[in-house]
Amino acid sequence: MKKIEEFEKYFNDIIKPKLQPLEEERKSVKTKIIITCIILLVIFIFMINFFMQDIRLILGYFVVSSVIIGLLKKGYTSNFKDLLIKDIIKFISEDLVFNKSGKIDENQFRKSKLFTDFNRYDGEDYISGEIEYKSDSLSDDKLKLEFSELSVEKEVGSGKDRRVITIFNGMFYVVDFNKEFEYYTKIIPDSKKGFFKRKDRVMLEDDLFEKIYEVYSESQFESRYILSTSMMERLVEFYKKRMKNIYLAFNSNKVYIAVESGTDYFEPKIFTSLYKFDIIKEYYEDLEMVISVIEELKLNIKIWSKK
Amino acid sequence: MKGFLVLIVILVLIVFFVIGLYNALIRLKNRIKEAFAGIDVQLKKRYDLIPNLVAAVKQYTEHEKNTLEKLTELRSMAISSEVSMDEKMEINNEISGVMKGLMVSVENYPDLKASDNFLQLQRSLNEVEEQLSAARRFFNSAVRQYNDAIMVFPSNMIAGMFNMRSEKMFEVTSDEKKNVDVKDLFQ
Repeated sequence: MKKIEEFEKYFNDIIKPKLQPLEEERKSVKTKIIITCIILLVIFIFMINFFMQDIRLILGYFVVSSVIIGLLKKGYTSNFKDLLIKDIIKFISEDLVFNKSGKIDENQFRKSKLFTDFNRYDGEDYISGEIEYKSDSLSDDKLKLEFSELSVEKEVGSGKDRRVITIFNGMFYVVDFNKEFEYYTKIIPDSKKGFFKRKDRVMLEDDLFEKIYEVYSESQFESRYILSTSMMERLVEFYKKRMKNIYLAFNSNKVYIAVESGTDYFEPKIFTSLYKFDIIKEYYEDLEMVISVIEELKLNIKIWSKK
Repeated sequence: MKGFLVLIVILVLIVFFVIGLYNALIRLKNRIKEAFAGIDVQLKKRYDLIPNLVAAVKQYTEHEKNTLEKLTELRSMAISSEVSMDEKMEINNEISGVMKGLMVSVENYPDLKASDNFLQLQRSLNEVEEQLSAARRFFNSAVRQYNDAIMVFPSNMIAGMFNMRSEKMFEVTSDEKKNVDVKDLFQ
């Protein structure tokens, strides 16, 4: 995959100009909001005697103000995300397809066995296809993958007691690997481990890795084969850099990677310029991380033969 | 009467507790055996590949005669039943060293390096080395857990009762650390 510096250049050269009308719109909405706030404040000060009569009047006024500002914000419909994703994937590879309302198939998600207890499943911004990357100095390989944002929840209780628990919210990647994993292995954040010690737990030598992650596998051998010292280092680096929970699963011929994200990658803030690269930098870097995990796997598992 | 019953219950609980600890220790010990078996499997694969390697190299060059002879010799020793476990471990470490040296020398024979036969062998050997590394790591992890268990309280008492002793780990041979370099050589 192309380096992030190249991507930043692409962002500055190609994407930024396209953002101009959106940026203008944002600025005008921002101005409108500021002016509205000032007007509302001025009104409040002029009518302060009126308001002081009853605290409920003050509260009512604040509610009305919030509603007005809310409406202004809503007026700012942003096509930001759609525009950006299309351009990003075009840069990454010509063989990628974007489907705004698509998501990873629920069966596929269940096959990862990373999250099993849920009853609500939704997602968007589905991308699938192939990415070219250098697997070793001899050849260029194509990576077949699909990914999307996912929102997985569990609804509990009924009636008044109804609550919704977030099971997983973030990006989910499914990558085809050209070798079958004989056994199932999964890596989860250490904080998500259960209370009881499990027989299929794999204890690894890297202390730092053990602090951050917990590994379970049907095979003590294959799991260590997958988790070489360099693979563990990569995963530790990722966590240190991003402080995001990451889950991995290796099942049959697929690698599943789930990256938990608290907030929407592309949520444009009204008071922040759309030209800031940081917003999409993470999206790109997470994809880079996924690919580097596969590269690492292929480095170690040099034979790929379904002979 | 009541006091007596309480005493019985406590004794029973203690017995169960002891049994639990003993079983846990046995399980850890069995894990070590399991891990060693895994290593053995990979070592056997390696033994099987060595004659092919020797034949392939001989085909292309006369120069590596000494190394090849040494490799064949070490292999015979490793397979022989007259050698102790510890000695076997040492011999296999030596084999790893010799093979690594051989692979470096192979760089000097481009015809050999490019031959299909050799490339296939190289891939198989790489695979075995990776699996061996994983098996060794499992072994060391199993030994570590067992050694810890027999030393901490209260399982150390049980271990003492049944005469369980610490096991030895595989040395993290400089192989493991240098594995990365070897991979680079194969690019």
